[in-house]
Parts: sequence; structure tokens; C-alpha cells
Amino acid sequence: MTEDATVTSTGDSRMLVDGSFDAFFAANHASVVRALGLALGNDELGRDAASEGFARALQRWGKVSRYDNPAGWVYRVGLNWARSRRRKTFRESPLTAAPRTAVAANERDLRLVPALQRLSADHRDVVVAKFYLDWSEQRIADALDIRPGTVKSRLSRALQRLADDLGTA
Amino acid sequence: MDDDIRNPETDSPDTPDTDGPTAQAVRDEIVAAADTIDVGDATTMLATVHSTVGRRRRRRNAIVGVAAAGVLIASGVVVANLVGGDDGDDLIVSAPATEAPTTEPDVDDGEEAPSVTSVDDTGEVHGSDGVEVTAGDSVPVRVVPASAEDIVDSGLTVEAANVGQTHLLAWQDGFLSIRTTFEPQPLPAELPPEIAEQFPPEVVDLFPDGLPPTIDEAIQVLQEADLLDEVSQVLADNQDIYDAVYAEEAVVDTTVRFSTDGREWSDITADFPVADNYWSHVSTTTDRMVIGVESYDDEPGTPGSPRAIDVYSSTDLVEWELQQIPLASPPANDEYGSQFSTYLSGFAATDTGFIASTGSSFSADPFELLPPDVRDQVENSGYNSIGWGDDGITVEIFDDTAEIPDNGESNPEPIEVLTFTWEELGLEGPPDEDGRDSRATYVSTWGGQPTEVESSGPGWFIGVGDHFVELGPEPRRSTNGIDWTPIAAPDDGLVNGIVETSRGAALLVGDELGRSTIYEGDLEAGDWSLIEVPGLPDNVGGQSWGRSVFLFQDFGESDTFGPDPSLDAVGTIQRAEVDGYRYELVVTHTADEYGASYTVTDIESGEVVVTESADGLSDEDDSFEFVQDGFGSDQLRILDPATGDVVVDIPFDAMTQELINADGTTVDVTEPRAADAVPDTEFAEPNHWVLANLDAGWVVEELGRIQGGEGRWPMGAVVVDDIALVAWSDGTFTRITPS
Repeated sequence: MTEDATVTSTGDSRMLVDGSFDAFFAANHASVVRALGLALGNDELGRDAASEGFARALQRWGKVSRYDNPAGWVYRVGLNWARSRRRKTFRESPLTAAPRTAVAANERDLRLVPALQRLSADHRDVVVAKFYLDWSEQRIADALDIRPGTVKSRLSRALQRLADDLGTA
Repeated sequence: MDDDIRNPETDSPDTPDTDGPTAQAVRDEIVAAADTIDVGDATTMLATVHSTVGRRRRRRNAIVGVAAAGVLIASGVVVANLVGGDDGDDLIVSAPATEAPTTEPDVDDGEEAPSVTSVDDTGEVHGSDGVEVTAGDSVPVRVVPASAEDIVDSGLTVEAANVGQTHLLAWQDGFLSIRTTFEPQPLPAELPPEIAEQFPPEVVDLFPDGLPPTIDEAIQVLQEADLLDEVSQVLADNQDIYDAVYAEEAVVDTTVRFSTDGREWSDITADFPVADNYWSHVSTTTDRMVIGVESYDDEPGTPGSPRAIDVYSSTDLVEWELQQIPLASPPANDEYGSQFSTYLSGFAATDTGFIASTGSSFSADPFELLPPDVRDQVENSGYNSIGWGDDGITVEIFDDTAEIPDNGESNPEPIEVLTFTWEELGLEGPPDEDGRDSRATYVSTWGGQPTEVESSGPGWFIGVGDHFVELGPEPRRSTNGIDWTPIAAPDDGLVNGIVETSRGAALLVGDELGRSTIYEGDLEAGDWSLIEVPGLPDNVGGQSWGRSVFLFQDFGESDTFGPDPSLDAVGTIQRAEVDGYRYELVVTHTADEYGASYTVTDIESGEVVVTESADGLSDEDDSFEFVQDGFGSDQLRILDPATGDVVVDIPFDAMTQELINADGTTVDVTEPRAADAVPDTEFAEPNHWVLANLDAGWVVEELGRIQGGEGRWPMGAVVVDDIALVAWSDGTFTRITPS
């Protein structure tokens, strides 16, 4: 069952009251899937990665639920899993590797998605965490297990490149 | 709620760059793009997550065994290596070395005859709407002793390989069996010369005396000659050859038998309005058999979208009443290669009427819009990406032989990027996605006109007595399909199934560990009582089958790397050398207790930098003080006891694993295969149990494992009065009655 009552109205996953996994899932499903879809450049892979991330969170929920940012843990695990899987499938079976048609639905295909994909994976993860998830640099650093200074430098460089690509500079 | 992960406010000051107008423009783009991402169905994903974890835990527990559980406390990686498959899906690779195992209580081996058992009386259960319901109240729930016998009906027994659909239904106080059998696809004695000459000579030479009688035999010959793929391609590329090979229709036969006791069967006359291989749904009410099919303008199975859902019902299987649910016509504009299809996604029937849900999908295929030469290039490139947007289509083609960086920190660059504007493709703009992935629900009384009703649920309908029940995270019931009432279900998991019982209904609830719990009670009162089922392992998955029957199965085990040596081990050793440090962890255990100690040594100086010992660990957080599993759980982090600084990070991948046998010898279980080798995986077939509610009470029966490809598998199960019947794929039945 998904009881919203276990999550405070601020919507901050750190504020989970009783650690109910289903409530946590309900609160974070959409945003984690979207974040992974953006970072990975593939909606379907994003959904799969989210599913894997949530499953691993559930496997060790007693521990993950006590993290400051369990959704960040899921985001990172999903990223790692998807990239590992992509490398593996690419290497083993190019014909059936990442879907022939990257699922992407509209204008972002020709503007944002290519621009995101031209970033390195490191930069893309940080950009999505910053500009979609709206996390602070400290929170991004915690979630991705990198130093805040690294977050800052990656954001700066990524932003410059995105601005150039999107013509928003 | 959906966007909970997102911060509602900026929670720390950031650099001006990331808050400036340029950043805001990027932010706007990203948020807008994110909104277009199809996040999928949350309920489905949540169910998948729970079942995935349940499966992994079952597998993990089966491999490791209760006696060896202590090993897991400090060596989760050992487990990962032992149970690892080839795709990583079931790896516990991220299990931190300090994570406590999940151990299941010992289970009954299921061999003893079920005995009378009173209900568990452990506490309260709260319904989803806050209504307090009780588990184990004053009404005892008993599982009664049962006996089972195999029934062989000569009219139904066939070679399992030739069985198509089998339906076993409770109908008019008896059992109704509907079975399709088919003969192997016949081949013409010889092919016309103009057809035969299109095959390569080496293929023609394989059949000097003409073709064998069936295609199965021809396939066997081709396989032995390693020419099957080549011939398959010829058939795929040439419709005239395909038509010639498949010129004769295979004989398909449907047998309809009826029995009041499950033992004696007789043919009955039936005249189905649509061949049973096209049925999308079949069920029965007290006297009525109901068939739901997707109806096309042409013959069933014609590509395209159905024009209606046809609901046929009959009380004698000869005269059928048709009630039709008209469906919207597919969009006429098809220049985008769009696929539009509607399908019957859910259906339930009661004595009063029926409820049906339909799903529709609409999707354009940009690949079909590309010029033929580009399509060829894309298909031959092996790895590519196609996207479309307001301006047109972009194709990225990658080098499928390129070496992929192992660090995964960069994506391959496309070797070619092709762009096509909509104008170049002869189109005005991108396809209109409106109407994509919609769902609708219809209800009707028998003989009435189906009408569409509003519904926000997932459409997983089951008929339970007089009620339609919609399963999902918030199960609910209705007698007319219009007015719905939440079901106050126990809150210890997701309601995965429901069947009708003598008390009202039984719920199958799956918890987050993948375990199934069954409750019985009255749908309206919500007075659920827990049913304990002796002989049924608590770590099996179940689902509702026919009337008053649940069927459970375990998931078999994969013997990936041969016998599991850990079952006889009394301990483990982990070792690694990283950044000038040597790490060694020794864990020993007995059935009741275990101990663990580790040392981290500076290799050059020989100095022991960190060491800890622990006995009787019982909780992950009480384990070693100076060992942390890294965020993301792919490494151990060793801390300096004096300063708390990081001494060294030890990736799990860098560790070797050994098992300690009782005689002190060790077995290296590190990477028992080459990194890119395909494991020799053997899957044990699942075991099955049936749990049925008879007039005399609940009975449980272990049905046994399938014996390879020559065995049988369950295809239907129902209850009539005091008899539970399971139909098998070979035409036999298992008949279960109170003993």
C-alpha cells in the first residue's frame, strides 16, 4: 500500500517518517525515472535503471532508509547499473544493444538530448541532479560520492558547454 | 508528490553561474524535457521491484542455506560470486560486506500429510483505509487433510508437444475442459520446380527423395546440416516460397469434455463462435460461459487494430449471445508509420454482468520514415540511435566494433550523424501523439448494452461471487462496476490475487520479501483471518487461478557453477591487496554462532594498520567499527582508528574469496569463470502447490516438479463443491478431495 501519510508535506525524502519503502517509492518514482531518463538519454533504460535502483534499495531498506538522501542512492545505483549494462550489452551483442530507437519524444531530441549526450557521463549526472532535481552542490556531492568542489567544477564546465550548444549563453 | 526527490527550494548557496540567467535557461529546458518522459506505470514498477527482491532473496537463501548464514555477515561478496548469473540481474554484487543477511525460517519439506491446524493468532492487522481488522479472530481457519489422485482421461490425453490452449472451468456444477491440439505442420510432398530452385543447391541435396511429411522433421535435417538459418532467411525474404512451404494447413482440433466428479469425462456438444486460439478472455459464471475476443473487420488475427471487443456468452455452449463494445477507429493519417492498437486488457464476469477494460497504444516509428538506403544503413550498422523532434529526425550511427572504455565514464561518439527535416521526408511536421496509451472501462448486464464508465484503477478485474474486484495497490469492489468501495485489506503487502470462498473471499498478499500470505474473510466486512498452510513453504509466489484456487510455485534454482561448496563450508576468507595494503577477513561459523576478524597491513612495513575482531554479531550496524561499505556498496572503506581518516578503499572486485572446509582446507571461489564466459546455467523446474477452498475447508497439495521437456505443467485449476481439479498439459488431471 502506498500511504502518503508517511511523507511530510515538504516532499523532502530526508523527511521520511517511518521509512516505509512503498511510500518512499510512491514519492520518488516519477522524479527518479525522469532523472535517470535524462542522464542516460533513454527513457526505457531510465525506467529499467530506476526499477533496479529501487529493487536494490528495497533489498537493504533498513540501511538505505537511514541515509540522508535515499533517492540519491537510488539515482546513483541506477546510473551505475545502466552504464554497466550498456557497456556489457554493447560489447556482447551490438545488434540488440541499447534500443535501436532511443526513446525520445519531442523537441528535446534535437536540442537538449543531443546536448546532454555530448557531455561526459560525469557532467551529465551532475547537471541532471542540479537542474532537474534541484539539489544543492553538497547534496549532489553526497549522492554521487564526489567532493563539492568537483561538483562545482563539473557544473561550471557542463553549463558552459550546454549554453553553447543550446544557444542560451 | 511525484516530484518528491526534487528539492522544493535551494538548500544551499551555489555559485552565481548556476543560478544565473544562463543556468535558468538550461534549467527550463531540462525540466520541460523531463516532463515529456514517460515514467511508466508506478504500480507495475513497484510490483516488479517487490517480486525482483523476493526472487533474489529466495535464491540467495536457497544457495547459502540457513547453516551458512553467518558467513554473509561479513562476506556478502562470497554470495555474490556464488549466485552470480551472466547478466548481473541477480547479482548481489552491491551487497555491502557488512550487510546482515535475510534468513528465512526453516520450512516444512511438504512431504507430511497436511494436518488440522488452527489459525495463527498474532495480533492486529489494519486495513488500508484505517479500519482495524483482525487476523486470527474467533473464527478458526483450518486446513483439512486431503488426498490426491491422478486422473487420466483417454479422451484428452495427448502428447504434450501437441497441446495448444487448455481451459479448465467450473461450469454448471461440473468441470468443463476445452483443449486444443494440433498436428505438426504438414509439408507438400514436393515443391514446384520454380520454388525449389530458389533454395541453395546444398539445401535441395538434403532431400533427394522429396520433403519429409512434417516441417518438424525438415527442421531437424536442416539443423543437423547447419542450414536452418539460411533456409529461414530464404522463407522470410520470399513470400512465394513461404506460401508454397506452408500450403497445407495443419490440423487443429478442439475437444470439449465435461465431468461432474473429475473422474468420468464425456464429450459434450459445443459450437464456439470464434476459434479458441483467438480468445482473449474466457471465464464462467454459475451457468454461463463467457468469451471475450478482439474483433476485426477481417479474419481474427488480421494485423491492425480491432474494431470492437466482442463478448459472447452461452448457457449451453451452442447458442451464443453477443454483446459488442465498439472501439474507436484507428487514425486515418498513417503517413508516420504509426502503430495503433486496442486490446482487451482486463475482464471479469459475475452472474449479473461483466466489466471489461481496454488499452490503446499509438506510436509512430521514425525508422519507417527514413529513406530506404538510410534504413539499410541503420540496420546494417548494428548500433544506432534514432530520435525525432519538431524539426525532423536525427540518426546517430556508432561503430559497433569500438572498444568501450571500462570505466564507463564516457559514452561512445557516433561515427556518423544524419539529420532529416520533416520537409525532406515529405511531411508537415512531427506526428501528433494525442490519444497515445489510453485506457477505457466498460460495464454491462447480461443482455444489456455495454457502456463506458469512469475508472482510475489499473483495470485488473476478477469476479468474486457477486462482486467485481479490482486489484492493485488500492483494491476495491463493486457489484455494478460503477459504484466502488475500497477493500479493507491487510496492510502487510500488495494484494496479488483473490478468489471466492465459502466465507466470501480469500486474499493473496505478497510482502516485500516475496512471501505470500493468505487471508480469508468477508469482502464487505473485511474481517480477514490469516490462514496458515502446513506444507507450503513461505517463500513461494502465488496467484489466483480458477474458482477458489490459488496456485503457488517456487522459482527453481540455477546451478550456475556446479554444486555449491558453501553449503559444507565452516567459514570464509576474503583477501585483497590495494594501494600498498593487504586486507584479510576471516569469518568462521557454526550453526549457532560465528566470529569474524580482519586485518589491514601495510605491505612495505609489515605494520598492522587496522584490525578488529567480533563474535556473535547480530546486526549490521554492530559490525566492525572502522569498516564502511562505500556509498553505492561497491567497496569497503577502511578507516584509521585514531584519526577516522580513510586508510584505503578496497573494491569488492579486487577481493579473492575462499571457503574454509571443516578439515581446514580452503576452496577458492573467486571468479570461477572467465570474465566474459557464458555460465553453464541449468534451471531446475519449479515446484507447484495448490491451495483450494472446498466445501469441507482449505486443502493444500504439493504437485511436484516438472520433469524436463517431456513432463507436464499445470494449465488450469478450479474447485467444484468438494473437489479441486488441476489440469495438466498432457491431458491428465490431479484430483484433490478431503481425506
